[in-house]
Amino acid sequence: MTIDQETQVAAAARDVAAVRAEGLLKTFRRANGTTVTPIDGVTLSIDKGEFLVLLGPSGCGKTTLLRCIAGLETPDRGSIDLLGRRVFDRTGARRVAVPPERRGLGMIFQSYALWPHLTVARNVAYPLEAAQVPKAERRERVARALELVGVAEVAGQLPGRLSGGQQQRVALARAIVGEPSLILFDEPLSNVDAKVREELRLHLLEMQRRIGFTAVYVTHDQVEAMELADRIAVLQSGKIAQLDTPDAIYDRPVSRYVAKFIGTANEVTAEVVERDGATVTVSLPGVLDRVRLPAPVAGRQPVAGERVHVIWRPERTMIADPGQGGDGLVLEAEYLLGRYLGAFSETIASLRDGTEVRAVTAKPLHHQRGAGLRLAVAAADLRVFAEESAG
Amino acid sequence: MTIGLDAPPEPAPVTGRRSGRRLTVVEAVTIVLGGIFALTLVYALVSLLVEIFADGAGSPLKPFADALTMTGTGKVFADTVLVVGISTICAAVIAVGFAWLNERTNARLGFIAAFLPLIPLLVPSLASTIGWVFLAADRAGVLNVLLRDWLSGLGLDADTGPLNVYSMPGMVFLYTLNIVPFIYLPVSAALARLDPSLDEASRVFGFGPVRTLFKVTIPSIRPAIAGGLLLGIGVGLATFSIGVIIGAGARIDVLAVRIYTLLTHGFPPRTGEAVALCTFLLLTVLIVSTVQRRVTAKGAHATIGGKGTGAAAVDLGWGKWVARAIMILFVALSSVVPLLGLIYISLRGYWQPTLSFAGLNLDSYVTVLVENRMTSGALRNSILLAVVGGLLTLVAATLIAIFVAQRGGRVSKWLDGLAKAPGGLSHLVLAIAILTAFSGPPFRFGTSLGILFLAFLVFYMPQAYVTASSAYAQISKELGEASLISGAGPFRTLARITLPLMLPGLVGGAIILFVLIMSEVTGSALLAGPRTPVVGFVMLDLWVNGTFSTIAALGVVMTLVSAAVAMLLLWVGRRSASLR
Repeated sequence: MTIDQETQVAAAARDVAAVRAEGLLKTFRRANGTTVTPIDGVTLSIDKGEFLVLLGPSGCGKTTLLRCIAGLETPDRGSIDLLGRRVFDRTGARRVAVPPERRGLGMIFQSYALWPHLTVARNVAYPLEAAQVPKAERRERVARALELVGVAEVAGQLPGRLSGGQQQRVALARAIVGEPSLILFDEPLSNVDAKVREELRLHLLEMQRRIGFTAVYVTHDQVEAMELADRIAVLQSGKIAQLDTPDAIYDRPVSRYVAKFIGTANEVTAEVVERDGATVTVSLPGVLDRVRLPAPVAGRQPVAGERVHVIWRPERTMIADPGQGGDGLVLEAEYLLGRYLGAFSETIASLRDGTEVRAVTAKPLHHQRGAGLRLAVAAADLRVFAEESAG
Repeated sequence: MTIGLDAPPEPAPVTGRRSGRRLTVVEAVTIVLGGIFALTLVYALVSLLVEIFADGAGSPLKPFADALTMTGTGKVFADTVLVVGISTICAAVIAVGFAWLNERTNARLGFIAAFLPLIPLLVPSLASTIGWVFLAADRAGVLNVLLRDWLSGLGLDADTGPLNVYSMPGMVFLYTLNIVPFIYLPVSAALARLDPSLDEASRVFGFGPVRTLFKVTIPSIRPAIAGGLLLGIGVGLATFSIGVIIGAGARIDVLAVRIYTLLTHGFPPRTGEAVALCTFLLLTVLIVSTVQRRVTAKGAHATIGGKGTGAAAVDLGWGKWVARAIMILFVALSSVVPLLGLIYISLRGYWQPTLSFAGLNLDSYVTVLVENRMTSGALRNSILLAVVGGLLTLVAATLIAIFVAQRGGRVSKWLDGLAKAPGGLSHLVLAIAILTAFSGPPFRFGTSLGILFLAFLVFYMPQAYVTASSAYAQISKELGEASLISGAGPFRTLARITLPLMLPGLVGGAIILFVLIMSEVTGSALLAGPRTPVVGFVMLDLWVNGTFSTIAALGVVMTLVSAAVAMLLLWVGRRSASLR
């Protein structure tokens, strides 16, 4: 943390946000003349010490958003504050664009970006050198950082000789050595194999909890997001589709996009027959006959005659006895196949209109292919979404 | 996770542009240097156009008409097309063959692969042409003397021949030797990067190695071959040293020499006609490059990618030794043999149709290095220009390359285009343009080191720029960004990260520039003078007015300097490769 940040922190209220972005907009012009909008009006506030994951498919703008926070990209509009200090402003007459080297951040790049001509120790010392930390202190802090991430033994080597996992740790050491309050991660684990990734993820989380820096982490891997995040921001073509804790995003997605992007989702598309306050009555020939479901809690309210998506998680699907009914959904289905997965079993069944649904049960079902099945979902586990108007 | 698949791919961010920021000092220096280069180039070319208009007394077509109706113009065109056409085709066959042998068969010879592209750097074509004249001149060529002795033993007596470098075959032979490396380079690079599984698939599905070569390998690298052909034609059209040395004796008039003659023989110089002829030269290059783009754009060739290593080599059996012998012979013919000719004449002290090792001495070297003011001065000037001019060109090119890569916008686009532009023009055109622009008022540079310096800046900017750009492109953008994020400003990032990482590529570029400037002939012939001699100029002058042993010695010295520096290039290249 630089001195002027410290004074600003002292001056500002104690609960000032680590990152506050407002109305960010960024467009690119492609070579063929079409324009892309990787950031489309993003407003976002990240608390101090929080681990925020930006999650989305490739092309959703998550990396561009991260690079705007870093100062490596210049948004077209909006403002960014880091710990209450304005580093970017294109909203009013007074334009601010603090260059990346004066934002006092740490960052871990996808390729790690370790400089191949400098030894590990000199790579890690670089941020201190730039901040003109005296030599003796520099040496001591480099040693401490390398110790902390567990690669002290490779200090004298060139980065080219290290394994992927070691390089990742060196990159982390370089990011934390200057003790920045905010560290940015640009898909840092996408280049290491699954086992090392698992280990590094734990290490990273532990490091973050111990040192207490704020982390903004970009990934397209939802498992990684779930494991690391205090909060996840799910991005959809440049906009934040949902920003919430992992469990809220999983259990209470606010859109069909979020529901289907995170985890596995069953979906039935039906027609609204009638809407009445908190409920909608839907029907799908052969599958549902005038069933009353909870109305959408997020997004647009559908009108009669429109189609809605009814979504639920496989593990909330119950196998019901014939004749049994409930307050939610009851579906007649045909058993297709079952998969025994040890801790649980998965059943794939087909509805009358051909839609496939999954049910997760503790014990495997032993049915013949084509056997009749009755599936039930409680009303509380259902999410209903109106068709997205943009298509 | 299905929705994500339809999402558009992450847009390629338009470079690491930080448009919000003011110009740094480094960038300001870049713009000044780039401006000097751009102004020189544009001013020279505009002056040339003005000159053509003035010469045509208002009608820009008059010089063209004059040039076309001049006696012998038809023969010049016919000879040029014949020599360049046949040589380029021969060179393409040899180059593609050698590239295939080296990249895909067990005849591969590591040192040939490394050495072949370097021949024009090791033995400058002016030196090797003169070497071949000493060896294969009709009457007095040393090789001819040897062959005639041997043939008379068989009962065949003759006073001349059997070889004659002063002939169409002799000319084509020398042009071919000269062009091969330029085609070999892109073709072998493409073959090295071409996924060998394409070839292997063809073999698996029942085609032999030769049919695979013609049905799969060659079609796959068509763009590289087309590029090589274009380069070959360009080099052939611009080649001046071969024509100026043996053209007159062979009664073959090539365009480059005709243009030179128009400008230097007789007074006043016939600039208008010379420029008109140059325009034809340009036009040819333009047409050929359009054709090349067509071939490349068809898209029916393989994208080069994947790993080129580990390809199973085609087993040629005993043919391997034949192939190797041919490749070694080729390298010998284009470098060692003419150099031996030069060394022999330089040590002998005079040129006579005999072969004798009696009385060899180093007198001619003493003459070249010490006694003859022209040759020693030329060596000094050339080395000075090669070091200072080469370095400054490279510094300017490096700064421009970094600037263009980091900043988008119109300035970058212009700098990029201008820095590459001289590559499409022959040195002859550029030299004439610089001559018309800077020798007269208001600059009055006349023939001076200053005008040569400007000329070399313009001539070699494309080479330097491409070298610097590719050195920069090999550095991942994230390495620079990581430095900025670490709190280092643009200047520190340049000094500590960017330049050190570019260094291996830049050193290679510096050495290439040194060698090219050392052995430059075309521009030197027009722009140097007796008071500011350079090596290329003096060798041409001596060819007309001097003693053969002095030329031979100067050729050897020039070759030794070039070869020594080129070897340094190889060594640096290998060393920096092992560092990675």
